[in-house]
This record gives sequence, C-alpha cells and structure tokens, in this order.
Amino acid sequence: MTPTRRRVLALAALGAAALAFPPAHRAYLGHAADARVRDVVRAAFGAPVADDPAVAAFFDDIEAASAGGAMPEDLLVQLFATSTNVVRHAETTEPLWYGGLFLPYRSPCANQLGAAYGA
Amino acid sequence: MAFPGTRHWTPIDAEAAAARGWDVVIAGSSFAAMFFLMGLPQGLSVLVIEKGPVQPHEDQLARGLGGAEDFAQDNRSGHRKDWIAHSLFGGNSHCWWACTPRFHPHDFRMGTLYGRGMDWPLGYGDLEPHYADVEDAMQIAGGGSDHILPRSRPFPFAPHAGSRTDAVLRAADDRWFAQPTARSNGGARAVCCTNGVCNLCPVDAKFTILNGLESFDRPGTHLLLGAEVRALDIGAGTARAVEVRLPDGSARSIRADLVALGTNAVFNAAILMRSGLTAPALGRYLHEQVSQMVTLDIDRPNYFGATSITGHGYGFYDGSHRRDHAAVLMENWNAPPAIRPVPGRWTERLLLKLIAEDLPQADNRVVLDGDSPRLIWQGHDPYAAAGLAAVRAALPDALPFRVEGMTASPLSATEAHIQGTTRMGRDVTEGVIDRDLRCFEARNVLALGAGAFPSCSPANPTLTLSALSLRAARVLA
Repeated sequence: MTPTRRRVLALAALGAAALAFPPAHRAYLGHAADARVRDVVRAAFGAPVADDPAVAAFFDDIEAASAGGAMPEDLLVQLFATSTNVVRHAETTEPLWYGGLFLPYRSPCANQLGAAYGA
Repeated sequence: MAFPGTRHWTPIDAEAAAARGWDVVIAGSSFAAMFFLMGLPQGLSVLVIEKGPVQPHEDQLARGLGGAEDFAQDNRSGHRKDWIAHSLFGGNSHCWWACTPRFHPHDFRMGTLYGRGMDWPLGYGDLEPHYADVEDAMQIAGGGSDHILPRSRPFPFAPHAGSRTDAVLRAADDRWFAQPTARSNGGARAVCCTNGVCNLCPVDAKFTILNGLESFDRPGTHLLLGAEVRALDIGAGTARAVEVRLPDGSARSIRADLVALGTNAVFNAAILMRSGLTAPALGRYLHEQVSQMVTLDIDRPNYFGATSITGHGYGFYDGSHRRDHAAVLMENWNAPPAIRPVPGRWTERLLLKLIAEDLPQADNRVVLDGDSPRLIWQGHDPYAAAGLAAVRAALPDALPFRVEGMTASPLSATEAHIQGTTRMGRDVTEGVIDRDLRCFEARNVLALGAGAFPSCSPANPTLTLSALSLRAARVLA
C-alpha cells in the first residue's frame, strides 16, 4: 500500500466528526493545543523535519482532531513518530512522508514503528 | 438455537435451569471456568452460570468494555491499590494483554528452595501437558525459551519478530527471548499489527473467550446469563445445589452433583464463606505482582518489532537472591513506543516493565461485610519492592547498551491479577483446596482460578490458572 493510500484510508477512518471519539479513542488522542504542536515537533525532530511540506498535513489533522486542549508533549512526539516515516527517513534514503494520524481505533495497523514498516 | 459462536451450547433461563439437576455447574465464564469446561469428560450435563451479559467485540469498541467491578476495600497500605475484574461473558479475557508465560519450575518450590512462602502441592511436570494444551487452544506464539521453561512440544506458532533491541539483548544473553503471547501470529485470528492498545485490541488479534469459543464447544452445555451464584447448599461435606440471585432480586436453587467456582478470587472466596466453609486460609493471602516501568536512554536503536511486548528477560528471575528479595521478570515494550525527544536519536530508548513477585500475607484478605465482599489490604510485602530496587541498581551494568539515562515510574496500583484467597495446600490447616482444586470441606466443590495460588511468581497468571483448570477437569475422568 502506498503512503498516500494509507493516509487516505486513515483520514477516512478519522471521519468528519473528529471530536466525536468513543471512550476508547478519547484517552489515546486527547486534545492538542494547536499553536504549540509545531513547536513541540520542531524541538523533538528538528526544524528541517517539522517544516518539511511533506508532513504539513500532520499539523492540519491534529488541528482538525483537537479541541484546543493540551495533549502531553510526549504523546505528541509519539504520534508524530508513529504517523510519519521520520525514523526511516533519517536512517535510510527514504523521502519524508506522512501517512495519516496513527490512531489505533481509527486507523489500526498503521504504526510506522511496527514491524510491517521496518526498514 | 445454539448460543452464537457455538454449535452445542443451549441458552437456558433460570426457571428451566432450576427445574432439573446437573452433573456439573460452573460459575463464571472466564479463563478458569472455560478451560475447566474444556477438560470435562464427555457425556455430562453442564450448566455455565454467568452474572454478566455478552458484549460483542464491536460493542466494546463502540462503547468501551463494560462490567467493571468496584470492590469495597479498606486500603491500609498508604498507596493506591486497585483490583480489576469485569463481570461479563468471558470476564477479564477481554481486557488482558495476552501475555502467556508459564511459571518457572522453581516457582512451585519456593519454600524448599528459598525458604520463602510455601511449596505448591504439585509441580511444573504435573502441569506441563496441560500448559501445552492451553497454548494450543489459545494459539500462542513463542519460541526460544525451552532452556528455562521446558516443553514437551513446540509452540503452536512462531514468535513475533522482535524489536531492534531484542536482537541485541538475545545475542548477549540467552535469558532474553520472545515473550510467549496470545496476540496472534497466525491461526484463526487476525495477526497482531502492533497497535499497542491490547487491553481492547482494535483488530481482535488476542485470544478472548468470545473469539475462542470453538475450543469450548461441547455437547450437553447450557448457558444461564444474568444470574449470580451467591452460595452453595452444603451439608455433610457435600454440595447439593447452588443458590443464584437474579436481576429482579429473586433467588433460585439449582441442583448439582459437582460445582466449579470460576468467578475470580474475590467472589469465589465470598461464595465459599457464605456457604459456611471455615478453612483458616479462606479469604486470606490475597496478593498479586507489583511492577514499574523503567525508561532507559541507550546508544542503540529500538522498535520495529511485531507486537506490543516483544521480549522477556529472565536474568533477575530465578536464583539464590529469592531468599532475600523478589524474582523480577522483565518485559521489553515495543508499542506504544517511548520516543526520545532528541533529533536523530528518537528510538534510542528502551522501555522495560519490571514485574516482581509478592509474598502472600495472611492479613491481606477478603471478608464478608454483611453479605458483600470487602478487601482488607495492608500492602505488598517489602520483599517485592526490594526485588525491584535490586534490579534498578543492577540494570545499567547488566544490559548490552551504554545507558545514558534512566527513570522509573511509581509502583503500579494494579496488575489486574487477583490471587491467593482459596490457596492450595496439603490439608485444611494449610489451604482451602487440594492439588486438584477440590475444597477440603466440600469434596464436590472446586475453586478454580488464581485464588488457588499458594505463592505469587512474577509471571502473568493466566496460562497457569488455565492449565490448573484443565488438569482439574481431566482428573475427574
């Protein structure tokens, strides 16, 4: 499956009602404070990664799915690392891409640090 | 019409169940109850009684897992303590993480080998064939552990691929190997795909009683839902009937030649107390493991394993240290990952769960408060915390990595295991049940589940309690 295809499926699973997460999902996603998300990602992954247009949709999707609350920084970092190929991008020649938010109950089997996505 | 997922189970209501007698009545429907059912001789009439409802996996995903119990507790430990149980068909099989280690052979001989606690009245060799059959039924994935946990036949399925740190750990020390697990790596269920939320698997990859019903589908089985077994009618050392309470508050008496209680270690003890049993150990020795997560920043990359928990470490498990402090089992966590927030070094972090055995204490117990169970909790024995402290101190030098930083979480409030309240023993002065799980005071009553454990082990209890149930049913033949 191509990264684009994965992203489409993941976003389709997210659905239009991004705020209407059932209880099992809510605890995982939390609510991100949109203004600080890019700063957190920049600090953890570096500006060249955070500002790369290939991952711009990550911030759009976080904004769409959040309600202005504060997702803990470590969870934001985890979400970026499991939703993008940032690790493989750093370790191989693979171009950076974003595959949709990895939300286990909305887009299962898309953990980019799982064996299925190993280099 | 047969119960969904079976060909032979017949749903029945309380009136009909009370209108006839049964060869066997089983209270509860989680691991202990179902593996007892699986092992029973053919040709018996069996009634399974579950007080909760059936909640399909799809409904669990939509609404969250139901049936959570809220136990009354006098917690005198000074620390938060939670006990987790779900009353619904399949019980805690819906919320477990599907970790299925066998107990270590020395776990059964703690008194003799280390002067701590008591020996079990049976040993690893007695359970081994039953362990293997439970592993087949659960379609366990595993491998590489035979030198520590001997086996009569291979695991049904190959182990999940390890993470990058698993590879380094296993190359350095053969006491690291793949965690045996009922998170599928082949078989009838979807293969685990590393979602890291195993308490409610999004793709139903872990074994549950509901998705494994085929293993327990035997002719002559009836299922009564929404009825709670409250007590047994016992006279002259023999149970004649089970007393059940229905949602409207009414009661029924259901005749049985043999009763097996598989309702968990709180409710089993309460049922036996209400029934007039007086064994000194009844309700006592409540215990479970205690754990903490340790995060280590290291100099090697991690992750890309194929399931949530990919590795087991036995380097601090068995040995003469158990005279002084607890055995500790280590789990290597692959998902959800702990990301190191340093550009370029995001996966150079190791997340280990350290799980220590406890020493069961008589003062930790279940009592009846009026007619309801209440837990009296004094705290874990210091033996457990001492084991964790010893491992934290030794860990940086014991790993094949340069450890650049280490943090440890507070001790866990629960492992979701309730153990020890109907312990096995050699006689009624020592225990509540014998090696075949039969009550000393009522020989046609069995108390299944982890309540039977005379000692703790750092290993997860499910495989062992299931094997005990299977064995107990088979020795009836």
